[in-house]
Amino acid sequence: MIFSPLALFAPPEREITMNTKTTVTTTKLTAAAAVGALALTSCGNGDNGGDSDGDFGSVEVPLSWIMTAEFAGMYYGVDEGYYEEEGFEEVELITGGPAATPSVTQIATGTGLAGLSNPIDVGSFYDSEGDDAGVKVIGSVFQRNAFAIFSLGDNPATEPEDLIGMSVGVAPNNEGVYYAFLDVNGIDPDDVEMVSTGGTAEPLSNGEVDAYIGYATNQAIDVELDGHDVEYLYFYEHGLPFAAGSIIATEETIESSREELKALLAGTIRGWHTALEDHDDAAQVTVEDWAADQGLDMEHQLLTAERQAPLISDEWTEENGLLTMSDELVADTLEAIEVVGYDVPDDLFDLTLLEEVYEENPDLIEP
Amino acid sequence: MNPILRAVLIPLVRLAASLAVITAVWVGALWFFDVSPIIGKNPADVYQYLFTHPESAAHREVVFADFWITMLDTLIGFGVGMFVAALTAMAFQISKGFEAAVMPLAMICRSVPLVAMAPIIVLIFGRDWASVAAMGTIVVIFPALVTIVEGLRSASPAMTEVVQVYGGNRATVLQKVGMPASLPSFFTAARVSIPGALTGAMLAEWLATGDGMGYGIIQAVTQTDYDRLWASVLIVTLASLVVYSFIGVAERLVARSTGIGLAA
Repeated sequence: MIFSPLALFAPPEREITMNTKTTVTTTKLTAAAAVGALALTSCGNGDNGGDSDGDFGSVEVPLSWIMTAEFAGMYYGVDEGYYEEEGFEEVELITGGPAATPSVTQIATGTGLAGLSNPIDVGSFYDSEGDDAGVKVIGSVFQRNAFAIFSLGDNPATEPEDLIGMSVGVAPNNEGVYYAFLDVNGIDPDDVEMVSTGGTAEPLSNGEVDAYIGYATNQAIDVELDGHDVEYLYFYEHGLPFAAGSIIATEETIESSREELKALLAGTIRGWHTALEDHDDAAQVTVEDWAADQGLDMEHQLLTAERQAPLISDEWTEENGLLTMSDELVADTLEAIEVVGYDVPDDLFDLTLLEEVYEENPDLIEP
Repeated sequence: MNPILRAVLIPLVRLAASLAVITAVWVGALWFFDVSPIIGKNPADVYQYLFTHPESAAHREVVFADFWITMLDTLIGFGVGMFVAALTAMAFQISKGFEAAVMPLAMICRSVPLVAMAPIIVLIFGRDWASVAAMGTIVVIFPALVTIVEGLRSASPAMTEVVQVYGGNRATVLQKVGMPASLPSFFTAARVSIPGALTGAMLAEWLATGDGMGYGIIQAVTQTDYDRLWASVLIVTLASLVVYSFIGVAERLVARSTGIGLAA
């Protein structure tokens, strides 16, 4: 298990950053407003455990990747004290990454209250552990997944058919979605040359492959910042509109620690509202505090924050709240998992916790 | 007992002892550290995955398809690496200047992690057997080179002088005295290099070719298929033990038939 000691020190560092930046003033004001709003709501329902005694103790939340702006909402949940206000002494975010144990395994083996994962990883876990794997998705940060097959402007793949005869760099963890994309778009895998690569789009930048499969909000930005024109084939536009950024927990935890999970969801929702207000600040918090030991690029993380915003917050979430999923999105996601080749139970998604969170705190929909 | 039979039997007995130790440590560690059964599979789980599970035929196909690729890659890396090491060691005997010039290169191979060099190797050699050979050579060359050079130097001065008295040059000394004398160290080098060559092959598979066990293990981890992971690791471990013992047998048989290195 990889644990970033940085998480412990992040809040004080954040203070320093805030004091030296003028742009943060608005964030602070909003945060204060949000705190005020919460104080009002928690008066309204004293039984949801949302007081500040820290009676939920310290919990761990394993993430699905290294600490990039992809998890900015949770950074604010910690930094702005939202989790604390919801009743946690401390919420410790555990960094993931290409070499880390998948968060779904960590959750299933009892490390962490809830984790950040994605539907495909959860599907593959069910595939190897069977239907009694006992892991549920209780919310989704991303309404649309950021997966894309991207290519360079001078040899672009603008339609899935253009991939025929091309070579595509695929990291081992993306093999499933790669074949699913070809399958959904009626392309014979034998007509496309799959090249096994690592988790960065470097082989595309240096001309070793013609295209690469990855996140439009992550690896593709590296290629753009290398000075290339990038052409995107988004999964959500080509037959695979599944949700991502799944928040997962075991059935056991849902039963035994329902209020903790709801408090975690509430804190995360508030964190994301703050994160989505100021992309500059979200990128800065990521680069300078949370991922300071990763040497991330500010420009890159700013683009990540800007591009992921419409995937996280859209018309649906404006009406129903962040992290929620429409019946259609649930169905699309289940279908995508099936196309990738994994059998999961129909009740993989348990969105009742989020329903209760928004019922008890209607203000969270529109902060 | 028949000495040849003895030469074959002793390594086999040792192999059985290693297996017993591995199994004991495996089961004992899982029990002692109370590892979750989702991640930590025991020998019975692996046996079930490979032999008694309804889909065990498919499992064996996946694991052994990877295995034979890895064995071939190991052979390529090991063969090329040992060949280059032996050739370089002999060149060292002929020219001291060459040794001074080349030794730092061999040390770079040892001290820079292969993972860091991999992208450059892939760009130069592509993603097929040439990269496998290059990465195998990098892993094998330093320990093999040092051991073989040591062996070549161990030739007795008296015998060297005999060849020189009869007008032999450095190359003749190497051929008549150095090479036979270095036979035991050549086998030592081979034994030391086999586990390295296996690791090198799997690294090459992971970072360059995208097949074999090196890639299969990464695949199993990302797909949370821990049964496949343990089965693969077990088979790789067994294979390296068997090959190691096999070189031991070959060494004993050669020593017996040539009379070189018997005392060792």
